[in-house]
Amino acid sequence: MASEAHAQPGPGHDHDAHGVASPGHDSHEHGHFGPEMWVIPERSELVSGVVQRQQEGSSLLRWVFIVGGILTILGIVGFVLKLVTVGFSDHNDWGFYVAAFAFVFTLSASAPLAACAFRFTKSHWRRPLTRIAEVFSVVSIVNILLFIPALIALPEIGVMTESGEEMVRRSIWFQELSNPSGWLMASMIGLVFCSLSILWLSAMPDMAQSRSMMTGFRASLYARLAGGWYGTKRQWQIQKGGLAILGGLYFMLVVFVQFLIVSDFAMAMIPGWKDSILPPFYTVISFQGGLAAILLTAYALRRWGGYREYMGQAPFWAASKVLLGLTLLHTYHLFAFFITYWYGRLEVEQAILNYLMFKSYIGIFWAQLFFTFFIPFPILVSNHARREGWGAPLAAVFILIGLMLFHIRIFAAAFAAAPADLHGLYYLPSDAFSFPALLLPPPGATFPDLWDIFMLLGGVGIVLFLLRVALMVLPPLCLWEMKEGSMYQRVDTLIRGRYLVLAKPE
Amino acid sequence: MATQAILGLFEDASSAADAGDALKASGVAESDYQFLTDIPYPEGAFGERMERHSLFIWTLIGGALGIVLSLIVAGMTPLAVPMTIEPKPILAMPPLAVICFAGAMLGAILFTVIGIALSLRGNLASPHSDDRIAIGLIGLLVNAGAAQAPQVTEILNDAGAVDVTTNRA
Repeated sequence: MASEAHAQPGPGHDHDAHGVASPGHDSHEHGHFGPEMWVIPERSELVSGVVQRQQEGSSLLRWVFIVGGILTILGIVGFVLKLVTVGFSDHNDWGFYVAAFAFVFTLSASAPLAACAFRFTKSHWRRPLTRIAEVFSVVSIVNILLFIPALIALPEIGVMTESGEEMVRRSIWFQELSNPSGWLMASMIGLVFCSLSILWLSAMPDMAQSRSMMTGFRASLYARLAGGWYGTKRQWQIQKGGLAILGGLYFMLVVFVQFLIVSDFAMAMIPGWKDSILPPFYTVISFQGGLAAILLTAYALRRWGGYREYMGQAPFWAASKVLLGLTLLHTYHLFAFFITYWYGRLEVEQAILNYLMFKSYIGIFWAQLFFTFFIPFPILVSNHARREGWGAPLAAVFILIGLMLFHIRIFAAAFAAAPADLHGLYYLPSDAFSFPALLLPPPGATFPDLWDIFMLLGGVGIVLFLLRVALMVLPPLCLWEMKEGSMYQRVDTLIRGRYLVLAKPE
Repeated sequence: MATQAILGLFEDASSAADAGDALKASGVAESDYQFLTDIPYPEGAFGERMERHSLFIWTLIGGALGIVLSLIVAGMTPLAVPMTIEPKPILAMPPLAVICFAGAMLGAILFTVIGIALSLRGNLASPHSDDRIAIGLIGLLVNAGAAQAPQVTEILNDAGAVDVTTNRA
């Protein structure tokens, strides 16, 4: 039996092998680790307790449902009115819509990856977070719907001029396809299918174990999705193997789809923008946003949702270090992007820096930098803020605001950069190696109209709304993983201190 | 001959493991009994036989089919509708690689999910379970013939089962 050096409540604490940590003890007895750092729920009451809380709901979740629903309706209204007023003829009008879509995609596609990644590392602190990460798969269903208008708004790769000559625009697909929408949509559907499969496989034991306590729609759904689950050795092995394989495939596919989205909907839309750092930069900022969304959701459920006795501070403490690493990586990539272009000094590179950072979108650039780095960094560096559990969720709020600003700065700016005509987005194949001079001087920033603002708010709303719906249908905690963790950990005395002892069978 | 699914419920894992050993000693084939649990126990915790699965074969087949299909589709397209951008070749590997990767991933995911769905079902000859397994009790499900049933029930009770239930197939 291996032990991990997580110091636990000091002598006299009533935390037994399967007992729930009792808050309210004197903190000086526990060193600098509070009694709520690790919570080991009672295994026999976990299913009934969580199901009961899920059915009762909470005022927080009701508000999330109402606010999310209202914002979603605003978004739909904004989309319909935009469509009626401008149509799809000019891609310049749809930059903010694409920014809203990319924001939803970023959050909902990256969050399930956290469940897979932390499961691969077999970390114990992940257990209360995995289901929250996985339910973002339900949010990702809307990516398929939101992707359709974005694909329609995306200009064709090759079009005929009036003189009958074919002109093309730069993209990762170049001469292969005149329209890559099929492959883009297939990749998006595959990603959503994979994340939903992971959720199904992970939630199957929980649905089977709680179906007898459910009534109505949930009982019927659980019976359909988990009717054949009995918990045999073979089923557990298939589940473990399936989660590992699908998790690996999901990791490979999500990075790939992020590469497609940022390449096709941002880089290719600014003539002359050739940047090998942007796809990994986008991946890092997506992971940062995904983890931020998970931590914020988990904190809200713990603080206001009634799940405090199932979720300790340890998940926040541990995950905040990962979030700190991602925040630093994000800033490193941002600087690498800047310094490469600043040092290169080609006209087009200076123009792109001026357009995205130092002239046209300078305000939003600095605002994003403050929200994604200068504000969360000191919070996440503070050991006190991390340990107390509120540090990471507070930093997550700023990171998510910064993430929205990033998407506006990159996607809305890219869609507004150039008109869809010759010497704009397009060039003749015979001019393939001339540098486009369109961004000299860089165009001014584009501001959202009322319908654009509605659509951006709708992007936030649809995430909240679908997250609430998903938490209504599925238990917000991965019950079998929590129970498994409960079996493998207990608090024991070593010399004069009491420590968390973890069994690691593999 | 009619078979019965006899389910013994145990409060602790050691008693369940003892019951498994006793069944084996009495001549019940290892394929005729299974432990039903609410969490995945470590390999060999009950002294049970090793279970193997070949899920990865589904993934490999799906990935290979995906690559072949996307190579055909993405290779035929520029050959059918060529667009010349000198000095780039008509059939270029970089964009083809993007499409092949997408095809391989989609094929692998689809086939893995099919493999999981097929592997999870048809696992039990006579399905029988109990809600108390959800609260931590360990089930030992024995598929026994009519003649064997009394002996199996006695073994389960002797090993400390808190309850033994029977379901006729």
